[in-house]
Formats: sequence, structure tokens, C-alpha cells
Amino acid sequence: MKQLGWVVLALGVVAVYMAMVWAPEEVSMGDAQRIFYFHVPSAWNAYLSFFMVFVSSIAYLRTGKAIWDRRALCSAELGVFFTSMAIVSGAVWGRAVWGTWWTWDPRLTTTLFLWLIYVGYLVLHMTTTNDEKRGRLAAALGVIGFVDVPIIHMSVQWWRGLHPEVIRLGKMNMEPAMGITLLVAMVAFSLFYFYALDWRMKVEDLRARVAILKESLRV
Amino acid sequence: MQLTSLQWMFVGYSVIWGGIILFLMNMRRRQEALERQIQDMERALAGKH
Repeated sequence: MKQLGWVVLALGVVAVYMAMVWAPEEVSMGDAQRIFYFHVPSAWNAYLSFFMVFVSSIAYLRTGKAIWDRRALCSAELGVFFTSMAIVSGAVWGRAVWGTWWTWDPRLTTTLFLWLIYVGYLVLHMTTTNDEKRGRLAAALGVIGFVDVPIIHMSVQWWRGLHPEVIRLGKMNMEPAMGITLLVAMVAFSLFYFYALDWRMKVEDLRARVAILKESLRV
Repeated sequence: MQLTSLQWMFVGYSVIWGGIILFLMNMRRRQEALERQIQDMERALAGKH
């Protein structure tokens, strides 16, 4: 995993160079448009994280193995982080281009709703003490909450809003150099997700070890 | 706030990269705290037996 960390770092540096220097300037938005190269991968990583929560939650409900609950928890934490990054970077971009930090646009609103669902998921994990009950409730929320992801993706087609639709069915409405830059940033962010998930899982294993040792000391 | 387009770009990048750095630093801090806790408890357990 250490090698993956170096690959992510190298690819991240290349992506920043491409986004800031190599990609052409967008005519109407100027340099502020370059936020897009990391705003979109942040949103993509949020989708990826919540997909992992969805899959792990189904696996937990079927097998009852705690490892799946732990994997879902770690991925949900990453998902909330990446959704926060997408919302805040989007707000900065919105302020620069639309003149406002926030608007109740369908995509923004459904994304905020997604953030609230998974913050609720994390709160549920922190506050429920019964392991089995917590696992089942969290897994149910992890499965139901994922329904919002396709809604977010389709929101720009279903309802009129300010948010642009850049990617539709694998097609990108932009210059090739911009598309390549976005692709490099997406790969860097995707690899970063797997690196961070592995690390977060290790931290969770340490927490489980602490709980076992606490029990041993109590006996 | 009157900023140029380039300045807005730097604000956006600071949010994303600053956020990632803070997230990783927080994870490192949590890992180190748990490792210290495990060491202390293992020492306490060894003394108990």
C-alpha cells in the first residue's frame, strides 16, 4: 500500500500541473473553471465511497460478519469527507461564476441531502451501543441512502437547474485536453480512495484491538 | 468579496488540497493515539499476569 501512496502522490502532482498549466483556459469562466478538475473527482469519489457502503451493507445483512459493517463505516466516513469537498469547492466555484455561494438547484439540493443521510449514518454508528442492532440499522440506511446517488446524477436531466451537465452517458462536452486532464485527476482521486480506505480500515482494526484489550483488563 | 478568477481558483484548490492534507493528518493522529493506547494496555496486561 505504501507504493500505492507514492503512485497517488505522483499522479496528484501531474494532475495539478495539467489542471493549472496544461489545460486551456475556459473562455467564459476563466481560471475559476479549473476548480472543476478536482470538484468532479471529489463528487466521483463520494459516489464510489457510497457504492462501497451499499455493497458492504448488503454483504453484512446477508452474512452478519462484522468486517462488512466496519468496511461500510470506513467508506461512509470517506464518502462524507468527499461530499463535503465537492459541496465546498462547488460553493467557491459558484461564488466565482454565478455570484452566489449556494442556490437550491436540484443537483446541489440532492447532494446536500446525500451528505445529511450519511452524516446520520455516522451518528447512528457512534450513538448505538448494541453491536448487532447498530450493524443492522446502519446497513439498512447504507442500502436505502444509496438510492439518492442515481437521483443526483439524473437531477440535471430531470429538472431545470443552474448546474451544468458535463458528462452524459460516458460522453464529455469539452475540449480533448480538458477531458484528458479530468481523466487523470479522476484516476488519481480513485486510487486515493482505495489508499485512504485501506488506511482507515487499519485504524478501525486498531480500535477493535483496543476494545478487546479493555475487556481483558476488566476481567 | 472582489477576487479575480485566478484567485477564486486558488481558493478552490486550497479547500480541496487543504482538506485532503487535514484528513490525512487526522488519520495519522488517530492511528498514533490508538497504537500508544495498545502499547500501554499490553504493558498493563503483562504486569497483571
